[in-house]
Amino acid sequence: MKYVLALCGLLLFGCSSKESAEKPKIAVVISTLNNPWFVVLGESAVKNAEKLGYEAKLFDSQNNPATESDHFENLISSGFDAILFNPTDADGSIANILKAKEAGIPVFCMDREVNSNDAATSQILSDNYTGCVAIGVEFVKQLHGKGNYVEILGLAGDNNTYARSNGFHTVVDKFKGLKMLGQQNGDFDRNKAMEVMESMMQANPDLQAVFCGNDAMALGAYQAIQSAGKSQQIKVFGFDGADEVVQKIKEGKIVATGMQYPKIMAKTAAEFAVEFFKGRKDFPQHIPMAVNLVNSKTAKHY
Amino acid sequence: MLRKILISVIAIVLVTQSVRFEKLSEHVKTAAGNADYANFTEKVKNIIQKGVLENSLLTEESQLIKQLNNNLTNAKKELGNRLGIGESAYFLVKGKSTIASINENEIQLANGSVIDTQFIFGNEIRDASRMVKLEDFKSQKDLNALTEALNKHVREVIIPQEIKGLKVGDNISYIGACEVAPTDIPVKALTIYPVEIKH
Repeated sequence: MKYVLALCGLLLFGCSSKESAEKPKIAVVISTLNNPWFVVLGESAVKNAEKLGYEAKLFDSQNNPATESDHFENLISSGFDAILFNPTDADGSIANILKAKEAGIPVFCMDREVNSNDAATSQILSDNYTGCVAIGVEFVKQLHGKGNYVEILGLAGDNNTYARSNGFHTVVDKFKGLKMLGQQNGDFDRNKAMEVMESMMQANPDLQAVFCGNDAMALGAYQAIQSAGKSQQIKVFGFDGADEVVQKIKEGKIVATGMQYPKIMAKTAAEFAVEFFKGRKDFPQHIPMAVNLVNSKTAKHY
Repeated sequence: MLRKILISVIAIVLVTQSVRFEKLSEHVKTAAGNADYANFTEKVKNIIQKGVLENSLLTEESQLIKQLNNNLTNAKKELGNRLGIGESAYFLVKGKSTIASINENEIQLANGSVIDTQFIFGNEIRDASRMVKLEDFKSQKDLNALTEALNKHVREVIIPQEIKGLKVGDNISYIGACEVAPTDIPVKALTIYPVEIKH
C-alpha cells in the first residue's frame, strides 16, 4: 500500500513538474529598473502575464545594449515563448528582436519604439508626440505666447526623446515671441537635469520657463530653480505623470505634465502575447496610447 | 615663417571642412520627420471633404451632447472614433449660434461652446473623420506627419479666410471635431476644432 501511495505521489508530482515545465514562459525585458516609471511598466507586465496563466520573468538591461543582448541570448536558449520588451536603443535593439523572431518568439515592444517596421510583432507606445502637442499648447497659453525658455531633452538616440520634443516644438515654434535660449540632454535623470538647469540658469538669467522630456528631469529642474530662488519666475513643464509631479501641480509648483499609462501598456502587451499563442498573427505595427494633459484644472482626476 | 603660416592655414581649412557643427535643436527638428506636406495634399483634402464635411456621422451639436450624456459608451461606438488606446473619443459636430466674444485664440458662442481657431494641433479632426487607419502607417512619425499636414492646412489656410471680418453678434454655422472624455460628463458645451465656419 505504501508503495502504491508512493507511486501515485511520484506520478502526481511528475505530472505537475511536467506541466510546470511546459507552462508557456513570458520574458519581460526592461531598459532600466533604476527609473521608477520602468519598474511600474516591468512589474505590471509580469503581473499581467501571471494573471493570464503564464510564467513570467523580469530582466533588467541596465540601459546597456550589451546586457540586453545577453538577456536575449539567454532567454532564447531557455525556451521563453514571448518577450514583452522595453528596448534600450531604437536602432541597437533591432538585432535582438530579429534574433528572437528567427527563433519564432514574438516580441511586443512597450513604450519605447524601435526603428523597424517589421521586426517586432507589435509596438504599444505612448502617443508622446500628441501628448507633447498638448503640453506645447498649455505652455503657450501659460506664457501668453512670449518669453525665454530652455529645454531639457531625454536620452540621445531614444525615439521618445525626439517624439516629445517634436510634439512640443510643433506648437511652440509657431509663436515667435517664445525664444528657446538653450537645449541640453538630461538623460531622463533627475540629478543630471538639476545640474543642467543650474548651468542654463547661470548662462541665461532671464528665463520664464523650462520644458523637460520627463518628470524625473522636471523634478531635478524644479529643485535647481527652487535653490536659486526662482520658483516664482520659471515655470516648469514635465512629462510622464509621476505622482510627485501631480502633487506639485496641485500645489502650484509645477505647471503641467502628460499622464502616461504604463500599466495599461503592459496589460495590452501581455494580452497580445496570449492572443498570439492562441493563433492571432496580425497585429498593427504601432498602437498609440493616449497621454492626458495634467494641469491645475485636471490634476484632481489623478 | 611663411611655411609655418601656410601649414597653419591648410590645417585650419582641413579641420573646418571635415567637421560639421550641428545644433542639437536642428537635429531634433530634422528628426521631427521631414514631412513633405505636399505628399499629403490629396489625402488632407479627402479627409476634410469626405471624412468631415460629407460624413454621415456629422451630428447636430445639441443632439450630440444629448447622446453623450445619455450613454457615452454607446455614443463612442456609434459616432466616435480614436486611433489606438485611450478613454476619450473624437466626434464630428455641426451647429449654429451667435458670436458672444472673439479673441486671438477662440470664438465664444452664445450657446456656451467655444470654437478654437488657433490651437488646431491635435488628433480631433484626424480621428473623428474615420479616414485614417493605423495599418496604413509604418511608423508613428509618418502618422504624426499626416496629422500635422492636416492641422496645418485647416489652421493656416482654411480658418484664417473664414474668420476674416467676423464680429460679435454675427450668426454663424460651423462644422468641426471635438474630444470627449468620461471626466467631461455631463457635457454642457463643447470645444470645437473647426473645419468650416460660415457667416
